[in-house]
Amino acid sequence: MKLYHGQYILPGLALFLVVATLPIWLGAGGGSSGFRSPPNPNGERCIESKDFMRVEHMRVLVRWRDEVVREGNRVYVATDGRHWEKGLKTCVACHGYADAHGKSTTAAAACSECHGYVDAKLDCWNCHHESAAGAVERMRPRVWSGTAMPANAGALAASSRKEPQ
Amino acid sequence: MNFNRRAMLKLTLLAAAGLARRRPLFAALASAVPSDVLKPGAALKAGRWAMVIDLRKCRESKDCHDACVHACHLEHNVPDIANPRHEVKWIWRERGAHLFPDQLDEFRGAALADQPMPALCNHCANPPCTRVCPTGATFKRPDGIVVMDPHRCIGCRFCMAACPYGSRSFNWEDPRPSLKNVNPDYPTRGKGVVEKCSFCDERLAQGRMPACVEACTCGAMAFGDLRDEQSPVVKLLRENYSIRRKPELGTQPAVYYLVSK
Repeated sequence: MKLYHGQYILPGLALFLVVATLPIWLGAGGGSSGFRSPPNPNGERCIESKDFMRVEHMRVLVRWRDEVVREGNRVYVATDGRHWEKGLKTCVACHGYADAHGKSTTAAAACSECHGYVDAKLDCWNCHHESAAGAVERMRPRVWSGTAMPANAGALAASSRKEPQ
Repeated sequence: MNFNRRAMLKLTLLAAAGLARRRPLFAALASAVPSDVLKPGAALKAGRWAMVIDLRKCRESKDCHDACVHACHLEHNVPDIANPRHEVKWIWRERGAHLFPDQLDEFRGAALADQPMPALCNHCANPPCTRVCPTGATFKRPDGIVVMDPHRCIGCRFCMAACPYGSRSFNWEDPRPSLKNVNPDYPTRGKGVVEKCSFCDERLAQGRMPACVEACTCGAMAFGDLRDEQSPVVKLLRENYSIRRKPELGTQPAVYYLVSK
């Protein structure tokens, strides 16, 4: 069997393969997807692990919303036993607050880093407060603690911890 | 032929088993969110929450300046909108003649007709608003509180048409620009949803009395459990003459007004 015009077809096929798989090669070097963890200037450990929150945070929020508004269950017991008040307030307390160095960020800005990237429109902040001066201080007594009160890592931990959990 | 059919049946069964296998997978995913939720011991609970407003005391207060209204609206970020057609209110002052049009006449309660008195959602035992809501956004909790879930509200305003007491307001505009003071502990609402008094369910969860009851300067407002004989509301209702708004509709309001006989 003879291949006619092989001198065009074979390089063309090779070129096509390269172009078609270009995204894979470009990403092979550990290219960034543009995602990073939301800023957390207070250094408090998040309610659950980073891997869990990365995948499930919206599911957690939707579940919280239904449980609080419709069932009246307002306290979240994390897998490590810490108690949290269910609500965006709890998220905002860390992710929407100015740090000790005056670098301020709103939770809306933190969320939109990823949600904006995938062009998902969040309307949470039409009603919920994206930041509140003194929110962290106000949050502390609101974290009901049946067992272990989360150690107020606060500013102390912020200096030692590079990346929020 | 037979073998082929048998093989296909086997394959079908295997495929079905494979599909069934997915279900536990999803279930595992769902239960990855820890679900053991503790209720804080501080929360106030009741069989049926109710409010008693003593109009005799309310009448005497000269200098409260509608403390109940301001406390509530400040607490819940209720906007103060100048345009009366866009007005939003959870609790407000209304003349007795407007609240009890069928129960006051020129002899009985003549003095009440002109008295401004607090009006709010009655948290009916048979709430007409929840029956007409197409999305289940408004519903009655087991403890009798009729609450709004603004997440599910689509703004159809059926509930406003159904409510015989005018207790519901619609957000014709974004309320935030009209808020002079913002309480960061309570959300605002967005344009296009209905809102109303919630009997301060968020405060009850923290073990606190409703904002209006706390703010009332003359002690005219009482709040408690109708199912509890020791509750102040039951005692007040047993010992005093009370009226409710539009009782003929059968909605069974949970807001009682004490009047002199």
